[in-house]
Amino acid sequence: MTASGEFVPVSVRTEMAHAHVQWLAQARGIRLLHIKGAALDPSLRWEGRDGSDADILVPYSRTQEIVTAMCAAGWTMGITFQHNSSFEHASTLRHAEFGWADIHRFFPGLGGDADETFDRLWAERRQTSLGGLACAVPSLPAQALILLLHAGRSPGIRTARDIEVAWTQADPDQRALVTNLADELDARVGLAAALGNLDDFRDRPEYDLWRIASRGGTRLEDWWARVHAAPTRRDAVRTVLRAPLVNREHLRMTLWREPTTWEVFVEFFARPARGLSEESRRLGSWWQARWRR
Amino acid sequence: MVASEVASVTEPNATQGFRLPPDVAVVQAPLRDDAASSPLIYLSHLPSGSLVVLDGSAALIWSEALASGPTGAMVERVAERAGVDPATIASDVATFTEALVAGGYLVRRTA
Repeated sequence: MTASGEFVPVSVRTEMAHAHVQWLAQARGIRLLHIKGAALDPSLRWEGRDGSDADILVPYSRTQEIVTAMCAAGWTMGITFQHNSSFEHASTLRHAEFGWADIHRFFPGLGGDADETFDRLWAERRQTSLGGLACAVPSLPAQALILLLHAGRSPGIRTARDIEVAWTQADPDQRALVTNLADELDARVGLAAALGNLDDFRDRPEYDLWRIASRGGTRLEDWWARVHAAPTRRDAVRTVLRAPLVNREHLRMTLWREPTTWEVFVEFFARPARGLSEESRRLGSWWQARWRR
Repeated sequence: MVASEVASVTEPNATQGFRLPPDVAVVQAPLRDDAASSPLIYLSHLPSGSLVVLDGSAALIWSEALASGPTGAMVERVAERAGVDPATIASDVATFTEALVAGGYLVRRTA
């Protein structure tokens, strides 16, 4: 028997992470749906597609409970929900033995009430084994839809292959199952971002958010898109007020240590300046393009 | 040591065998750059989260301990897979099996 000082592959740590969180959830009667990566159905994987963290979807109403349980069981908070992405959908935690886990309180692109959406996905769940524990995963169409929604806001080589496997190579019946589910879960905007017809949904409040996520944008554009997509006026105001605040968590991860007061102070002024600089460059490019015509 | 004595060393009650405890996670993974060899077995107690890895004969003994049915001859199966005389490994197999039980990575089946 060898102690854990040995090299442990990321794939092993990730699967253990799924099992660990499953165990914690089971002890508290919390339902989980394990998504992407190690939890993905083999038919949706391509060779070399390895996950580097454990992605887990939790009912929105029980998210804090599972995060608290994880922190009590050796996990440390990396990035909170508010600072992880423009959609504020997931929190990243780290365990010394099991690596990283992303706890999703909802999945970007799946609309409607988050708890009700979870219930809908749960109703057609499948089961897989992760770390020897029985773990629930979404149905095959739901897994495909989740992959596509992720691809829609994270364009790249890997997600391009996900689109190929989950959509391009799918037969008409499989595609119909995905689009029907997208209709049911109000996920057409995010799906369109993945499939290249996002502009068909310009009238939707979340259009700008998905446009920036899929095509890029300045920091200010991102913030205004968040404001525009906020479900309530209070959420919109909260987003505006948070705009100049320093993302201390992100700064911590960038510096690999706790930032000093001076570094936070400098970042407070640097953030808006970077935002204005990006906006100036964008407007400058636009103006130059007009001048050249 | 004759076969019946070998069996009694590792299986005080030959009808029992072993099972995986409910609070142990297990992942099997091949050795890097050597997919043809026996996989490594990673174990972790839940929720404490301390990882251990079994390789080679350790992994073999653990696997066969779980595979042993009510009338399993675990030592003989281990010996056959390792290509050795059962009598030469019986003591070591017994010792290691007890270590796995004491460490909480195996549980004796109850009747």
